Amino acid sequence: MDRQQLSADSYEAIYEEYAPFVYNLAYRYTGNRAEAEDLTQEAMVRVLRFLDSFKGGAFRSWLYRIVTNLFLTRLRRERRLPRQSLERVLSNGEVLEEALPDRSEDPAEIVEQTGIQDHVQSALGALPENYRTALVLRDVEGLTYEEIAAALDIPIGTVRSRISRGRDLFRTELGRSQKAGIN
Amino acid sequence: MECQSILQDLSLFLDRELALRRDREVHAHLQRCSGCQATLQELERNRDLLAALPRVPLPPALFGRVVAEVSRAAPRTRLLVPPRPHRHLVRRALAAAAVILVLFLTALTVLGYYSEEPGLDVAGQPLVNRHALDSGAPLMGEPPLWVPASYVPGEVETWP
Repeated sequence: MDRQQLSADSYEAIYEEYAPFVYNLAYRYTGNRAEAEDLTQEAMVRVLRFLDSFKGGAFRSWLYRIVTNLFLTRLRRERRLPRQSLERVLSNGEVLEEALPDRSEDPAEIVEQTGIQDHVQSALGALPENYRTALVLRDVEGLTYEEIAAALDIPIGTVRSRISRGRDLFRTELGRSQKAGIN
Repeated sequence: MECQSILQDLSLFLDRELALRRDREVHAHLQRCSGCQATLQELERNRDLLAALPRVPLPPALFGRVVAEVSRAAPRTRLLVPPRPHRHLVRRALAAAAVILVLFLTALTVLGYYSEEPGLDVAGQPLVNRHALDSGAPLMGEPPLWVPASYVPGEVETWP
C-alpha cells in the first residue's frame, strides 16, 4: 500500500474494509459493545495514523496484533474495575439491547435463539485473556496455528498449548454457565 | 492412564495438528474408548459453537469518531517503534566534549609549567628562571623554576 496515495477517500476505504472485522474481534474479546467500540476506535486510529509502520505482508495479521495488544493492555489497566456486560448478540447480528423494544418477536423465542450464544460468550469471557485471545483467533476467526503465532508474537508450541488448554477451560466454563442458567 | 494421555492431544487431533504416528494412535484409541470419543465430540461441538457466533454489526457513527481522532492527532509517530532521541549521538557528543575539556586543561597546566616566558609574582614583580641564575643557562629537560628577580644564588631563602 503506497502511503503517498492515502487520502480521506482511502482512509474510508480502509476503514470500511477492516473496521467491521476489527469490531467483531474486539467484541469477542471484550464481550461488551461499548468497550468493543472504544477498542475499535483506538485500533483504527492507530492503523490509519501509523500505516507507514506496516512493513508489508499480511495486513490482517498486523491488525490482529494491534487489536490484541490493545485489548491486553486495556484489560490489564482496567482489571481493577470489572464491568458486567448486559448485552446479547442475536443470531442475525443485532444487539439484544436494541432488539428488546421490538415486541413483534416472542421474547421466549429470542431467549431460545440467543441462549446458547449467551453462554458461549459468557464462557469465553470467563477465560484468562491469554487463552481467550488464542481461542478467539482459532475458533471464531479461523486462523491457523502459524497465523496465531505471528499475530500474538509467541512460539507455535505456546499456541498449541494455549488452544488445547483454552478449549478444556472453555468446556468447563460453558458447562458451568449452562448449569447456572438452568438453575 | 492411556485416556489421560489421549485427552491431552484431543484438541490437536481435532485440528489435525498431530504428527502422523500420534494421530493414528489417537484415532485407534478413539475406536475403542467411548469416553474419549464423547469428549472429542464435545470439543468439536464447542468449536462449532464458537465458529457460529454471529458477526456483530459495526456502529455507523464510529467512522466519524475515528476520522476526528486521526485529524486531531499529533505529529506522526511510529506505532511499533516509538521515536527515541538519538541517544548514541548525545553520548558521543558528551564524550567528545569531555575529551576536549581534559585536553584543554592539560594543555593549560603543561604550557604554564614548562613555559619559557616568565610571569609576575603576586606583587607584580617579574620572575626569573632560577636554573638560569644558578648555572647560567636553563637545564635541558628541567622545568623552569620561577623566582623573584631579586633572588641571589647561594643566599639562604627566607620566606615572609
